[in-house]
Amino acid sequence: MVKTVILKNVTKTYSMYESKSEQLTDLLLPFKKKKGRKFDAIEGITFSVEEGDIVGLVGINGSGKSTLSNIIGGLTPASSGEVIVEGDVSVIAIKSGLSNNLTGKENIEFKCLLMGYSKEKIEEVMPDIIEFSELGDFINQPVKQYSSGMKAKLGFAISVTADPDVIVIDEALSVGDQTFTDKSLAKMMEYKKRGKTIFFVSHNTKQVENFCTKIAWIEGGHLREFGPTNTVMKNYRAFVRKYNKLSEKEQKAFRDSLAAGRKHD
Amino acid sequence: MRKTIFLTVWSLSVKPSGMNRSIFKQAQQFLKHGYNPVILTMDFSLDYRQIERELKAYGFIPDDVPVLNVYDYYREKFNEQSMSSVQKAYYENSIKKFEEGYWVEDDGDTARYFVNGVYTKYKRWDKNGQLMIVDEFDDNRVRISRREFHPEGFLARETLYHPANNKRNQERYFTRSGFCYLTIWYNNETDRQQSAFLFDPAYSKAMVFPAVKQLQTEWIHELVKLEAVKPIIIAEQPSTVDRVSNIEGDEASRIYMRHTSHVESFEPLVMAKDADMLLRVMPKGYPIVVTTHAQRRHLEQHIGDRENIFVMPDYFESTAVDVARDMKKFVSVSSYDASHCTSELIEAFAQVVEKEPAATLELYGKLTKARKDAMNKQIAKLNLKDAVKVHGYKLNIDEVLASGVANVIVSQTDGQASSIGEAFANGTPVIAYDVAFGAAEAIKDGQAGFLVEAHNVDALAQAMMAMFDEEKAKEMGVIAKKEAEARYTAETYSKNWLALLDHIEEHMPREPLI
Repeated sequence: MVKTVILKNVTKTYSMYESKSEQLTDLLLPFKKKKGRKFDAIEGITFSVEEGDIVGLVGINGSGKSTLSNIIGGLTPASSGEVIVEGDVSVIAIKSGLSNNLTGKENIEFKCLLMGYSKEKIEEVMPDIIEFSELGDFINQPVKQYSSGMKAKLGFAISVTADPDVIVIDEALSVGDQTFTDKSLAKMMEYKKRGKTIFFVSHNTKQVENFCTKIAWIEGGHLREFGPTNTVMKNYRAFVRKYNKLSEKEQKAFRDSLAAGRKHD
Repeated sequence: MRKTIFLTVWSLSVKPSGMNRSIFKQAQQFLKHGYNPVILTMDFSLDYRQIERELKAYGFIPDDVPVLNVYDYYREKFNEQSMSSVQKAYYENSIKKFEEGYWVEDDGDTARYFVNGVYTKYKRWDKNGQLMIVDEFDDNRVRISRREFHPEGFLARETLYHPANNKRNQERYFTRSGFCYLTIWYNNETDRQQSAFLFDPAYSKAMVFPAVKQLQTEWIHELVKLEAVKPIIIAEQPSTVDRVSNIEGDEASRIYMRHTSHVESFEPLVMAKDADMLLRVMPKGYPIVVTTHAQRRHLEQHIGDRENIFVMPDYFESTAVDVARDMKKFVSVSSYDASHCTSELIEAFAQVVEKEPAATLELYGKLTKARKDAMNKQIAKLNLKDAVKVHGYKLNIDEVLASGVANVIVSQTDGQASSIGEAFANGTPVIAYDVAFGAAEAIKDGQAGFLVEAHNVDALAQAMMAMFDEEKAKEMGVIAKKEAEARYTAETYSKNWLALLDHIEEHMPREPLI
């Protein structure tokens, strides 16, 4: 077993502005005191993942799951810390970079070209992708006409064909229909057997529990727990139950106190 | 101001196990390097003062390291005055063997008491004539109570038994002045604790806990709150892991230590039952300390790697002087727990004796009477009575290890296995089953000993017979000594620990808000 993804003290900080003029001032006058306040979307996250691990990223809304998955997927750079990903990584998200004006087919070609495929190779994999996507005739329609489920199907079909070593699935399986989800999960299981590493972001705790071997529970941008699914999900579910029992005011106070810890100058 | 480190253990005895010795060494090094170690024990014993005195006299625990016990703590804290006259009178009457009004069956250290033919009372004294217990019975010879006396002469605990099945249903604990500071209720059918009540003479309100476990947690928390500088707590044993993890708040930093293997079986993988709490704490990010690198790697794979697992191998220094080595004598120093394949060792040794009739095997370590009897039975059956001796526990194990040609360890799984390090420090090679984690990591086959396929009795016998090549055996001993000097030194040990202790705050996860 080899470590495939290593995160060391990874932090992602965004600047927050109250107006466009503040943002412009910061951009244009680099030596002036910065006006924007900083917000740590994730802070000091350290963990490593082995080949064959399927890691569920869980946490309430705004906890930093997607920021983390984007950093692992290489879509966003980390502000500090170290991210080591062994092999090719592919991100499958609801809006996984499909161009709305292009048709499904054109999107396949475009994304395959980005992955460095030759024309011949694209022709070879095209039927497989179309078949896996279950889009049928819609493949020739512009993507803007697609439902979110159809977009996810197409994104998923393209990404799995690329046969990446590390796959990040961000909520992509929560929009499709059950049959497609099952098919996608089966594909993921096959990848798992082949020793690939998968990150799985979902609010569907059942799916996470059935599918993942380990769980990273993110809370307020920090890694609260990281460990085997049964242990961490038990604690996470207990937390969610407690959280849901709080009044709206208390929930807000909880979120605010987490957020307060993430804001700084 | 020295920072306090609470080392939480279940119990201590004057026959310290390998794990306890390793905890004492921790205390020695922490004290030496500017910390203030305090050993906390959780069990009920009337002997802690004596145990502490003896362990300090042997040099296991430094004089400056306090040993506190939860029961002793509350007994002293809630004690209002010296022994009351009622207590004194009761004790003076109880200590008498021939009490007025009874017919007494005198059996030396024990005595039975009869009133007009009815058995009503039983007493036991220790070898120094100190009264230990008084049991009382109903007319049907069913025990109804047991009273235990402190060596200082006061009643320390009274246990009441349920008449239905003679199982305990209530315990009361007393201070020197006769004040009951703790009552524990039991379900007499399951023997589970139902509640524990703590009584403070200054307040009329009793504090209630679901069981003593929660009281022990509260006790550690109380000690933590008395510290001026944020202390560190090390949960040294499985039984103290949940006590420490249940302490609320972040007034103390916490470290969880696993001295032994966390695995019960590898194929299929079954984690040790007593590691359960530790494996549940690990995902939270608290520092976990193990004694072998292989163990860390295993935990990283199966539990998760968030860089909170630290490897701190124990250190070993020999105290043996001028011990002659018998090149035909094998020793086996072990704790004889469930994972110890003693019968395979004895079986293998029968083959060794066939080849070399002068060969002997001496077994040392704590073992139950049942286990000892089973071993002696097997030894007699194989006609090895002259060659194999079962000795039991020995305090100065270095002398034993230094006197043999090899130390043979037949455990199925272990942590660092202190007996390997101890043997190396004494220049004694080790023959061990090739199992994770300690043996496979410490021994390079054919260098400082032999690694043998687990449960392969013939191979084990072959490895022992290979030690009869005296030159090779001596060479292995030299390598073993060098290994100990290179890998298991106090300097490396304290350097490893200080790297964690001095920066403990950087390794503490955030306390969750809910």
